[in-house]
Amino acid sequence: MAARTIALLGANLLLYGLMQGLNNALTPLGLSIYIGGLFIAFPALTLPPLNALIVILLSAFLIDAPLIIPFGTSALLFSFGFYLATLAEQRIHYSLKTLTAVIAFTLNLGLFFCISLIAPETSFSNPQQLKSLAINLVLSQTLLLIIAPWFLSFQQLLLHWAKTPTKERT
Amino acid sequence: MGKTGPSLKPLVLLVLVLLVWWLTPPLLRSFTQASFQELQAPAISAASHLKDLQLYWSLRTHSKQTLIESGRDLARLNAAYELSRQRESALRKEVEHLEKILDLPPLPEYEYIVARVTRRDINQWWQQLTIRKGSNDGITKGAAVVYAGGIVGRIQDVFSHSATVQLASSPSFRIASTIEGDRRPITYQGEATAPFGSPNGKINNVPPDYQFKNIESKRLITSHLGGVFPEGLTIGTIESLSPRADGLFQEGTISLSQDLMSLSEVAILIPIEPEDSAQHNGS
Repeated sequence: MAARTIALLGANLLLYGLMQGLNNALTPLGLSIYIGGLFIAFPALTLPPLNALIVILLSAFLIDAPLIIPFGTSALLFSFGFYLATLAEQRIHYSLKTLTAVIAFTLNLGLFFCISLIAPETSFSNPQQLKSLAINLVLSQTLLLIIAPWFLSFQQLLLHWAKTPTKERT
Repeated sequence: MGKTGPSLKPLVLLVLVLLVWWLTPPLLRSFTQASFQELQAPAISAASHLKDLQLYWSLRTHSKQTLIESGRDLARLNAAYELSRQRESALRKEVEHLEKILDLPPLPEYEYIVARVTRRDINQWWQQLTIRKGSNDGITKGAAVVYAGGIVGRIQDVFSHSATVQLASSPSFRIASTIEGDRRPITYQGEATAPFGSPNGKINNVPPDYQFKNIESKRLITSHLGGVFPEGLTIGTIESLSPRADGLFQEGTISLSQDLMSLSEVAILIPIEPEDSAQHNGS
């Protein structure tokens, strides 16, 4: 069980590094991406609840540490995301990949709005900030849809290497 | 008996997380935050070193002719700086002389600590940089951060091997400033950075006698009231001025340098105490 947890934590760390690298490269253009939903969906649907929560919380702590929002905010939001993902899993019956992509997309949208409300520097009365929010939201959601199939396959591959492959949902 | 309803375990775990969130003392939270920041600092630092190495190898590909031309340009610049250093030395002596005559407190002096930028978080939520030096290198919270083009911001959080810088374009960043050639204080505050645009700021409390077309210099600089910042550093350029709703003052928009979005190196100004300053001058 520990191997699965470490494998998915490793995948999340890699995704975090890539997200950070991409954001560094996009900064001179004034653009930024956020794909927090991808950190939650797959672990929540494939790991036992406690292990999933450990992976999600550790990922959230890493994201939160250098930022100015109160430490633990992402962890709290990700925990809600984890709970919603498990609820969706019990009610929606799609294949694992489709369900994970749909949940990641929806959670990302929710997380984006929540952080926009929480972040101390966001002002909805400023038209420039609204434009920035809209452009970055569209960019983030598009990028999430593009990389989700690759990232989910990568996570499945890691689980296969950890000798704990996921069962395809019916 | 089989499983009849949805599993309650995720809900129990969520409630537990909420309880921990509410009950954890702030001290423990800040300790955990520092631990996670220190944990990822080596990885971020390693990535930054790799980038430096990449730059080094790309520079190695330049021809000897380019190197000779760069050396020649640098020698000319050095000559100009040497002249201005001599002039500064004479001016410094004059200032010290006047301080003695008028019994004024000495002007603050600063130690420059140069640091590489390892990470940029510039978006609609936060405007900050992470640098590769921290408390172990003498960086202190609140210190001024500058670069060749003027001010960058101030140190927001300090960890052992890294620190975060709040950019001048952050809406939470506010300092006293002046328009070049005038000593009346104006409040500068950062504003949002629009996609595909340059970072912005705004000024308040601009005296009503200023006319945008008639201002000789449109450069906004730091004031002697600017706290940690030395006087005269560039903040940005005044783009527009308009009367405020109260009619007493004017407000305006400031365009900051586009370089703020792609900085790779900054300098942190650490104030030198008068005793240290005397030692510095002596040495």
